[in-house]
Amino acid sequence: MKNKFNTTFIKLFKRFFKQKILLMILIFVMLLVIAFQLSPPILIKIGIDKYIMKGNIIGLNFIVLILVCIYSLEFFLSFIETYITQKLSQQIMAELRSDLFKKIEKQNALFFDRHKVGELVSRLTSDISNLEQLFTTGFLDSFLKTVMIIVIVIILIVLNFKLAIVVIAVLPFVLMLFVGFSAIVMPLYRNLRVNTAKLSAFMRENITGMSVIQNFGKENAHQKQFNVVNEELSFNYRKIISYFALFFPAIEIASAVTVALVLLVGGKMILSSILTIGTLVAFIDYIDKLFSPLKELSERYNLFQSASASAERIFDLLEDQDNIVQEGRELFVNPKGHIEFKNVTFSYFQEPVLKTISFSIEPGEKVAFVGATGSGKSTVLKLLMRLYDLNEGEILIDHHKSDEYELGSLRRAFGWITQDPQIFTASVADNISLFNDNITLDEIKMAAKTTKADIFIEQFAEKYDHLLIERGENLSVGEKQLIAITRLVANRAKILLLDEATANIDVLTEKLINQNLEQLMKSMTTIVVAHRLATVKNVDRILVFDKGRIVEEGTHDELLKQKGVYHMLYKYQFKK
Amino acid sequence: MRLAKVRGFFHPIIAAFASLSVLVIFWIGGYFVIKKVITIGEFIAFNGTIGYLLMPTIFIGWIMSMLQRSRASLERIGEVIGEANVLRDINVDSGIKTLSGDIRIDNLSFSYNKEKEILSNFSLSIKSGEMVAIIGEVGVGKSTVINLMQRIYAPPKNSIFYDGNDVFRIPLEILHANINYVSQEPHIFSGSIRDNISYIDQVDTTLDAIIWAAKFADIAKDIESFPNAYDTLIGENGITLSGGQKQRIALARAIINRPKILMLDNVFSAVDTETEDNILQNLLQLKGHITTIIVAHRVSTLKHCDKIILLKEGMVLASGTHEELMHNKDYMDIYEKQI
Repeated sequence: MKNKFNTTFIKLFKRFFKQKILLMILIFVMLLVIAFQLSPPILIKIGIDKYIMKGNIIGLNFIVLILVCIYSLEFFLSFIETYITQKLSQQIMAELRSDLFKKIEKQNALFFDRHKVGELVSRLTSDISNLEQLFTTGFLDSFLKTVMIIVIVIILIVLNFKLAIVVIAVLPFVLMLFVGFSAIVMPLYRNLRVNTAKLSAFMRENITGMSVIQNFGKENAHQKQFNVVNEELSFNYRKIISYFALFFPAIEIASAVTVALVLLVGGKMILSSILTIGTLVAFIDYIDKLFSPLKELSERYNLFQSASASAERIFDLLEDQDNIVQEGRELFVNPKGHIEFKNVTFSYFQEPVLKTISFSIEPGEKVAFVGATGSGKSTVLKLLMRLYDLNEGEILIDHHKSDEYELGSLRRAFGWITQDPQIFTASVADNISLFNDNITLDEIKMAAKTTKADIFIEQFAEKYDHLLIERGENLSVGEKQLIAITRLVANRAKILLLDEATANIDVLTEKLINQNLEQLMKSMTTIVVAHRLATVKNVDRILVFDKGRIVEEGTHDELLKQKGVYHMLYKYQFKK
Repeated sequence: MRLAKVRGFFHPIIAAFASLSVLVIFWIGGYFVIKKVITIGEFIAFNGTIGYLLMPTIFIGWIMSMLQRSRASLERIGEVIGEANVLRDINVDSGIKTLSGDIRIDNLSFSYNKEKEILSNFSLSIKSGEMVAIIGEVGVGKSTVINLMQRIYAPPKNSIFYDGNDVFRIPLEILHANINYVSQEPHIFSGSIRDNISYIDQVDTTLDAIIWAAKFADIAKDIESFPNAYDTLIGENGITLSGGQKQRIALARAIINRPKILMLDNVFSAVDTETEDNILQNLLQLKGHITTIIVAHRVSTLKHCDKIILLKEGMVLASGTHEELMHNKDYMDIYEKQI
């Protein structure tokens, strides 16, 4: 745990130090700010001793003038300091966010099965903003405060060694207080974090499952569970706050005692004329400046705790190699549409879903996959699209190992039509071209014309610039499907994958879509995953899947004659 | 970046006010000491006290800006708390302790927003123990009927009756205790499979009952193949279920206490026809004991239902048994298309 904590911070520091120049400027400005912040007490001391005590008004005015200059400069510099800090942290965070998003884009489907959308979104938003706080108020400000404490001690020693000893003698007690307090509060903060995570997980799960809870009338039971989690969190908060309520006054008392001691010792020294009044005033000022950073630092635990958790989560994600699909460098150009599986074995978890499967499909051929749920048909499509890596065997596309192709170019060759096509928040044109700049508007229009999607697109006021919203809620399922088909025409996909494409569609649109698909099938290699056998009669060849193996192969008529699995499935569906 | 500028500005301004007051005290105080208006001791006291005066003033500004931010949060919280309790009992007949499964829907018209009516003059009567299927295309109002029957949305008064009582007269607790519902994408809680199937009563349900329910939903074999069978964890710390497995576990969860009324909203969408048929066979066994309402896209397996309702645009296009509907053109269109 401790080790991981450290390595996480090291990684974080490495990112900060990438911005060397800006960081150096920042530290320089910070040191200047400290110098300006700590000089007024000395000036005031000089003012008191040299001018006020001696009745020199001109001298007093002179000191005031210098103070005005110093304050103005300090004001100006701290503005610059905050500005650079923010600029620097925003830059680093933007970079981190972009790295994270890039990483997420590279993950395979297994990753998205494991991670919930909300979780990933919070990685990119709240975790990052936690880190930003850690950087600004955490690292930089703590650094500033620590330097300040050290410089104050040095100044005190230089001003008057004897009196400084009094202050330094108190410091170990204060430090002990500080360390003791940390030792108590740190684990409490850790618990708090666990409690908070528990509470939000509970909320997430129960809100998504609300209809079930209501339907089964389990509101009271869940309310009780919630109260337990809620009370744990609240109890921990109260505990932490009560420790703070002890710690802050303790620091105040320590500060007051130190001032009293300094007054006692310093007063005697003034009486015996070995100390000036100005120095004593300066000492009191500095003691205040010495103790208040301690209070502020003690409030940082929470930040360090939650930020280190955030950092850990972010770097875990950034370094997660498990779910990344292997990718080659070769661009997949001019696809022909030849597919071959050689002894492919694959499992999502332990149990293999595909067991040494081999088959090949010629360019332009129409093949249907038939079999029960879980027999592995859909998995074959996912492997073709390279959403997962294989466990064993190889997949050849156009007689070339598919993992040697660059992923983007390979996937563009596939047109995957599913039940629920994805629509992005973007214009119709961008939804068709999929943001591919190489596809001109004319080509998009041509594609829409061939699929007859232009009929409904032309009805939008802004036509191809019409903005579609996420999930395409302003479109019917059929219209979404037409966009998806137009998409693959425009992108010149060569291999058509149909996965229950027309399950949720009204009859009229279904006809249009089927016409389109039949047209497309003429020029493309086609794989149809069929749950209903009625859709597979017109294909060239049928592969029958059973428990991860291909058990039969042939045309509809051939398979019926074999009187095997296909025959059974067929009879089963048609006996009704 | 603008945010950075604003923040960069705000903090120094507060600091500047603090500096200014120190300056003024020093200057005027020093002047007064020289002019012998105050003593050096008073000067030092002023110098020391100024901080106590200053900090609260700085904090006031800080508190004001915090108040602004909190007000927005408070309003959002208020919105949720102030939300009317839709699911509550008003004027119910507390004498109703159970339902028999007899359902009547009278001229039910409903729209989510005023624009488009989802259901218009929908009527249906189901006798206790009957098995009824509602079929039709996406968006014709099949799920809406199911939701209204459970009062998840509020139906118009005097449109839905259980045993002759308006749905609003029935205490929600009784209504929900007698109706078990499975949706197309059911939510499965993270935890063990056992806990999920015995969700209704996690304490007193026996393993035998759980296994019976799992067999009923044709998921028992799947469960037995999992590493810890019924104790296998699902969700964040456990295995991931397929859509079809989730649907079947949800079905097991809904059937385990043999409710009076079972509503299945397109729950076979991710299950293959063979499994679907097995489950329907099991459901048929309970015909006469459980009133079952099945919403479906596919028709092939619904032949044995007592009644099939064909919905189109919120209206009943045809209803009857499979045999009766064989003469209906719309029904046959769908039927033939799916074979």
